[in-house]
Amino acid sequence: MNLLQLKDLTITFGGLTAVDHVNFNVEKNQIFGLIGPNGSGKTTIFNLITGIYKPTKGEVYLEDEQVSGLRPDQVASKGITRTFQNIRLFKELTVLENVLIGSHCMIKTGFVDDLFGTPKKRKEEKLALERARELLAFFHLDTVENEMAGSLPYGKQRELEIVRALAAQPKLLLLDEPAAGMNPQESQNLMQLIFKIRDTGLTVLIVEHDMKVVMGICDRLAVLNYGKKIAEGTPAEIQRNEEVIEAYLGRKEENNA
Amino acid sequence: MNKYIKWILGAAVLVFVLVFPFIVSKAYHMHIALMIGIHILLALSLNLVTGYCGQLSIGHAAFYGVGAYTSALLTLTFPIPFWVAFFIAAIVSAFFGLLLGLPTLRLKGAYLVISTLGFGEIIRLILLNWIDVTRGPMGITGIKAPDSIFGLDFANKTNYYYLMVLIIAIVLILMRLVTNSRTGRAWIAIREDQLAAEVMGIHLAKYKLIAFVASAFVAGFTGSLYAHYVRFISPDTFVLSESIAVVIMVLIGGMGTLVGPIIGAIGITYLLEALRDLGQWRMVLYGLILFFCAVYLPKGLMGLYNYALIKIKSKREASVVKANEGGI
Amino acid sequence: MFLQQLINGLVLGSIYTSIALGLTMIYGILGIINWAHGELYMIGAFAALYLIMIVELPYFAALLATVVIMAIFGFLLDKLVFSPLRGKSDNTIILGTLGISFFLQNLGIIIFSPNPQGITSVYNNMNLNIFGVTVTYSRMIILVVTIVFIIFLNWFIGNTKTGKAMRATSQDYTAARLMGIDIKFVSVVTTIIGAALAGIAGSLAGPIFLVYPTMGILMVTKAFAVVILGGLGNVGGAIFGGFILGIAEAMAAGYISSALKDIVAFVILILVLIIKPEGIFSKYAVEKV
Repeated sequence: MNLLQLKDLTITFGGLTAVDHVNFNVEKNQIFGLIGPNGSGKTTIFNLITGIYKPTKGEVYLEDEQVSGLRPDQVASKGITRTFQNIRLFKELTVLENVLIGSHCMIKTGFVDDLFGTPKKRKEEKLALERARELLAFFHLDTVENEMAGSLPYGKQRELEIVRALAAQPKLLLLDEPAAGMNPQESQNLMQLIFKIRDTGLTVLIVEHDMKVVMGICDRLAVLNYGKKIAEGTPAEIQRNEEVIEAYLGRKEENNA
Repeated sequence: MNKYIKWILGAAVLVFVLVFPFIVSKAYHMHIALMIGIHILLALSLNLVTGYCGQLSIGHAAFYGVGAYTSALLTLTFPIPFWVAFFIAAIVSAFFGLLLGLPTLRLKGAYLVISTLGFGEIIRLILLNWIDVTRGPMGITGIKAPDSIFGLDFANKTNYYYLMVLIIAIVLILMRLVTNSRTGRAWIAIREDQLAAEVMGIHLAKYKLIAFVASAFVAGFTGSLYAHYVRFISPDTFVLSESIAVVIMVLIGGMGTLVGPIIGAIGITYLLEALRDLGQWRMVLYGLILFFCAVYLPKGLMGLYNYALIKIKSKREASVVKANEGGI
Repeated sequence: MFLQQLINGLVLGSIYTSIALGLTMIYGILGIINWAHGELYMIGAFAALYLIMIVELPYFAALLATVVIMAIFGFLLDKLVFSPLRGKSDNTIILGTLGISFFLQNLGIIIFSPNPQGITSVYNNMNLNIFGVTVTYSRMIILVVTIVFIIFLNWFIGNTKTGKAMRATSQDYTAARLMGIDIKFVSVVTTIIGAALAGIAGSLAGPIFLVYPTMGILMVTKAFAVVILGGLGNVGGAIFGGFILGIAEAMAAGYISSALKDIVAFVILILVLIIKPEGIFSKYAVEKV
């Protein structure tokens, strides 16, 4: 069953078509990879899915409901959350506070509840705190819950950003280059983490350059080049695909020249 | 260490505050205390929109002024008791908060600040020039003190003082509740990283507006408190330098904390009074204080305090580790 | 009438452009929102006042001396104010420069008294006749000097090594540093140019409009309107915006009412903020994620 559908998704900035009629579907509980050379439009697609950009043409559907054109906060409450390429944690806040903020959608209080400290607020806050701590424990970050997010080692910060995105109990998790800057050991841990996440019932869409990670965890891949989708298939199929090889190797030759 | 000391300190402060009118001999000192109270409320209110939500606003005196004038005019024109005018002033001011918040939702940085500056100036100019209603530069005189309840006469400074303390206490309780909640966290998230906050499900417009409106509401009834205390108001009070003074109070005390603005308000109000003889030089000092705070104390004195706490804590942990290693 | 107001507008525009140029360059190259920029205008005016009325230097000598004084001020501003503020959050930078603005204004009130003073200049009384319109020499001087400065600035930025460094820094601060560009030097030069431009505008405007310590506030607000209109950091935009504002004000004063003159800037500001806050010339509306 399709959780996410991109239909003819297109966006142009000025004269540049950054994403060009991209079509692909992500099935429920899949780990789907989005790869391609730098500048091929991968993060732009993330921005389109999460509502940061509005498409010039085409739509994005979540469980057959159109989400393109919604505000980012609306997209989040529909069940899509993400991490960022260059980690956008709240560095001056604690680990726990980051996760609590992440669970914003899940807490059911309104301003009046918040202002007057109603029983509903007390209940919701307690629940939110419990859920946050559970989540942190699941990812072995509970011991540092009161540390400032910015003081964590790099690998842990990346993990925390993922945890924060999970706090909203999303249906679809978008990971933007989660393995960037990681050493092989950390990448291994990350892969296990993502499998664990998938096991809880989530669907994951991942943008990544680290091919070991991509080939290791993805059920299916889509390859972008210059904003267009040039291939889609299983990791094995993609590795054999001529056009993909040329897109990557062609680029490599340019760089060496 | 912390919990006991906090309780003792808090109790001491409470006792001091309650006993203050009896320790004090000069009426002048009571006046300063009342002005400190007014500024505490102004600083706390600005703190919501600027300290927690991160929207720097240098036009806050506008809400203070709207509240003061609304309350004064209402009680002078209609047989409305102070206690009602007080709330109406807050509501009218809150509406003005909406007026400022709505058009500035998409603005950040310098664009936002200029807009708040412009807003403050526009209100000031209206207060100054709409002579038919506000009596312009001549101001409004003969404002009545709040009607007495339970036989308490509020022309009496001491009674006004306790009224102020009560109001501040209520405001503090409510602010503590709201800042330790989903709304408060949303504000902080917006301040720290607006885009990240948005993709986490925080509706920027909604929370920014709540901040502006709440901020203006409190500043509004503070204006009413002021008007019925000094019983004369003029546009001179609600000028840019007052807005900047409040900004300094929040900045130097510590944005985004509840204690910070209180410390800032006390310190700056006291400083202003103590330096009254210096006249124009006070303004010069404002500027310098603002600059040095921005450079050296961006998190205010509370920030310094928290930093010190962290340093002490990590030194302690280091020495515990050392002790353990030594034992082995 | 039209021609008269057009020329008035160009003169006004010259002043706005000079101030806006410095403001936009300091933001574009240094990332600093200089709220104290109006005070540079004020200091230039007072410097000219002092040099002409007390030291009794001839007009153009006084202008040159003012440039030197402004250069010194610019240097101090960069070392004492901008350096400590660099890299801090936008809000903090605004508060810091706001503080300096307040400081300088009120210092000015104490030193110079708040009363407006005039600069007498023979050029105030000498007239020029262009296409039937009478313009005082003083006004023409403003226009000419500003245009000369703009041409010089254009050459400087386009053709000197420092100019190139400035352009590089405005495009990408970090990359510029990595390429070995001496940021401190670029910072000083940019600030000095900005200070000189604003100061000269002040000294040129002095003989026509009066000189008083708070003359900077209105100017910097209008300069911000110009800068926002043209796009923060956009030099061409600042020049365009400055002259547009000047002409719009002159037309409003001439055809509607001179009391409404100051509102024009606010109206433009509000319109731009509502319609296209990035400014007319900016291409980017979206934040890079």
